Amino acid sequence: MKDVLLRVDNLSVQFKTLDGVLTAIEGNSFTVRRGEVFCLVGESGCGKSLTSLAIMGLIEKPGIVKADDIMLDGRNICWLRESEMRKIRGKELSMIFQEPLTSLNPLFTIGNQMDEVFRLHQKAGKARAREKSIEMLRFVGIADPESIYMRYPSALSGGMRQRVMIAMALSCRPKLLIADEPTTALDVTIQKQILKLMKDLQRELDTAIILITHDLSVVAEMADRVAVMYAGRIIEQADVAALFQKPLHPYTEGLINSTIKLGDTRERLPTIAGTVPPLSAMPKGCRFHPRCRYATEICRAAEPPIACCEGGRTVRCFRYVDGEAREGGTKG
Amino acid sequence: MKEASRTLLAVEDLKISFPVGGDMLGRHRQYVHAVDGVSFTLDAGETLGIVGESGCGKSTLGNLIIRLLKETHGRIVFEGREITALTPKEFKPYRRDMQMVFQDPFSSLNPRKRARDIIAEPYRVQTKLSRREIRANVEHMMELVGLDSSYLNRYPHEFSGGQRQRIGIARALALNPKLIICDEPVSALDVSIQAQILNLLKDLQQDLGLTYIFIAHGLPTVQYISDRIAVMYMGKIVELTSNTDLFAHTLHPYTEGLLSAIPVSDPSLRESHTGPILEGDLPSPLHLPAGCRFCSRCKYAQPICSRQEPQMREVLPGHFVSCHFPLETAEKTDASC
Amino acid sequence: MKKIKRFFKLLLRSSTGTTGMVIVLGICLCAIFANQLAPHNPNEMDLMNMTKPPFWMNGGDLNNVLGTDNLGHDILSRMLYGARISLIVGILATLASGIVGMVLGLVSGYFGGLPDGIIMRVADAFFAIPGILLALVTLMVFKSSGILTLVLVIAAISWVPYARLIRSEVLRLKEKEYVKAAKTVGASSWFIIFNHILPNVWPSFIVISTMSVAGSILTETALSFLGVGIQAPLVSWGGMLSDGRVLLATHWWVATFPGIMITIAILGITFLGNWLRDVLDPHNKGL
Repeated sequence: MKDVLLRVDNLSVQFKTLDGVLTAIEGNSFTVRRGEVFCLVGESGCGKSLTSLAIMGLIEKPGIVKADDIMLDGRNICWLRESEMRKIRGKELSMIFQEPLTSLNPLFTIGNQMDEVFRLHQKAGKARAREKSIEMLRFVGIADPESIYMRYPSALSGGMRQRVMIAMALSCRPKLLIADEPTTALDVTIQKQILKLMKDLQRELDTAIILITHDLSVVAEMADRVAVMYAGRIIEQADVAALFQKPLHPYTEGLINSTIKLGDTRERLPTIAGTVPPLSAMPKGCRFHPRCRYATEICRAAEPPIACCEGGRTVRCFRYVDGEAREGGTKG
Repeated sequence: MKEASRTLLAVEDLKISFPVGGDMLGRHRQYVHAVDGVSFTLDAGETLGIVGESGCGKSTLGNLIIRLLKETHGRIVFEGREITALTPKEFKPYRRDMQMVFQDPFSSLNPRKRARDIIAEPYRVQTKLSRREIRANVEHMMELVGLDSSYLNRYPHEFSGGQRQRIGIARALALNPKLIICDEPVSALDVSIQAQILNLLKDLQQDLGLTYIFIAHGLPTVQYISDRIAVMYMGKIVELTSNTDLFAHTLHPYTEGLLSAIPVSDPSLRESHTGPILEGDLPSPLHLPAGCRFCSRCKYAQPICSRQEPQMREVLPGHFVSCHFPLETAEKTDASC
Repeated sequence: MKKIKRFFKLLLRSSTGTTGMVIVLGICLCAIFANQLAPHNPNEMDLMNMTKPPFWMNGGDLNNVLGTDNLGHDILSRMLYGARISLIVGILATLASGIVGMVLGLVSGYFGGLPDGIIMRVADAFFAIPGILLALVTLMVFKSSGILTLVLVIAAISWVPYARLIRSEVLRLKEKEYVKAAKTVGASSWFIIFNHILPNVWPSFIVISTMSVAGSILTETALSFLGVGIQAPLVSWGGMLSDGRVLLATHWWVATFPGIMITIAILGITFLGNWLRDVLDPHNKGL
């Protein structure tokens, strides 16, 4: 049983807008264990990216971050000053993004940007930083690191750039890497390479990864544990095998069913009726109830609490409030 | 119930090249051969899926067929008529028969126009119908795609991504086309919405007798909706066959690599799903190798592969591939280029 | 109604925007109601009260709140009427250069090729010549400097930025998928330009126009100051500056007040223009 590396308690993010204060995510708690791959999965707008930005301390006005606690390796990081947070970012806590082209500065060489990490966090001199950068580039499987070191981001392909991003993020052997849709913009053959790379590196460096994605097949491929988000709430958490074998929340069930598998012979794809409501018009009660075929009166009235089920799974659904599945009435 | 198949579209050796660089006098100019000799036929009522990764030319091919781009070589024959020989003016009436559904639900609709004006546009351009008639048609289209006609007065930003895509489909259906080219129609949508749109496309095909060319980069999606599939790589079709045959009898090494790159759909399959991983990147389109374009990444490559480009041939019944050593009918040895 | 409410909410959020709007409205009111607001006829010469100082200084009184110039004209009244001229010239010149710039920018951007080449080279040529110089020469050659000539001359030297900005907007919009969609339906180029490009180019046009009014007013002021712009009996701020220039050492108020007025006006228009640009920027939509 691995020990806990990151603990997030009751995280919420709100925004002040012209239409009033909107709550983007609320009441989210989860833990990430040392060396594991934790997937945060959900569709667009569910708040998964916001969650990671909140952990990194990168949310600025008009966003307001509130949490009972965010603990990294026993240390509370949610109330740190920006200057102290900066010491952690890149060193113990690292992040890579979806679009490597916009994450890398087009005006500086790869080498220049990679050296920056070493010079900042390890106080390395020029020569030493270069040495370490090239070593890191080789580490992520780049065949000709010396020549890539000299080039500019625009000269590299998407897959290469993402490798560079991973190299930069892992330079200081962080304990936790947050990867926000790292392969969404890549071709599927390149995605396979990058995912394999991440898995290999994770095992070798014992780095925990929070992998954010909307693609359930990436979750199936990579995750140890999964949290499913909908409309700003984590609605289910489980080990990956348990999640796919027996999804508890109707939304998870719907997502898994609507995903097309290779060799799919179903005549019609099952769908989840309706669409995600906008932040300014969230329904009362359970946020999913308008689209849920098991919805009952209580679902319309109140938000379900987090229920604990067997195997340490949690789910936010009234069907499981007693710890086991209850039959809900069919939706009108 | 399919009628006796008749060829709706025939594409013959289609090519398009884009000039890149070069000085003022036109020297040192290089060309990107985005589509480099594509041929296939399409029967009425079927769905042809075109799948490939970035740079393979599938979107360019779609644009060529719908005549948004002018080919540099080759012919397109639609319902027996050679449309590549027509002037833009002569071609205008044919536009009613072929339409396109675009990828990006955010930029495929003019943000300053209401839904009803967007769907009405095809009528305004191609017909002389009265306002009342157009309005009736527009309402009918909305119904067909499952949108309430009370939404007609809304602007694009008031719709969700899936709804916008429905409007795009309604626009494409307005003139009663025979052929619809879907250029990555669900790639930008959430998974649960993708399923809705794919179901809609299937229903429409059945109800209206449409023929589809479905362009996408995701094999599972293409495989789900297509009858036949063409796999493209760097401007050429490398394999073309029926849906089932592509998986049951994969012939081209690239297709094999593509299939093994698809992540598992269930964690229990992780151990069993080990296929060859395609290493490396695409070669630069400006410096194409002399022989097979896939040679540099191919595990099975032999000396001839780097010297001579393979031609497209029918290796199994109805199954075309361009490879010197297709995976199923040749002896292969693991050699590198 | 909701849109208007939202508009004001947005405006009040920005202090510079609100300031700009207030100033611009103020000047417009001055111009429109100059007849009612001005205590004196701007051309009325009061030879008994030449170069009288403003009311808070020795020798001044409330009859001429801001004093008089060397011919006994009331400064305040002349400033109010001057607002009228400046606004008329500014707005008309902007309209003229706007229309020309818009059309040329649309054609240049959408069609590209030879038309683009020609228009852009002509634009470069116009832009290379110092505007004021061109205006000076033209006005001197044509002798008549009524408002119309002035407007045309200012328009002629201001259209280039319009054309260039509109052209770059068009280049961006041309690639949008909804333009492709219109083409697949068989729409003609002009149909696409009017129905798809133009409606999306308006925001940029409005922003450039606002800034252009400021620029035109400044140009008119400069020309009037140099003596080739607005002539008597019409009153302009530039003319007032010119009148007061020789008196700066002794009777500072004659030139200073119109100078302050010009500064405030330009500042106000610029603030408003900046705010409009922030608000109309498509990236800010949906906030």
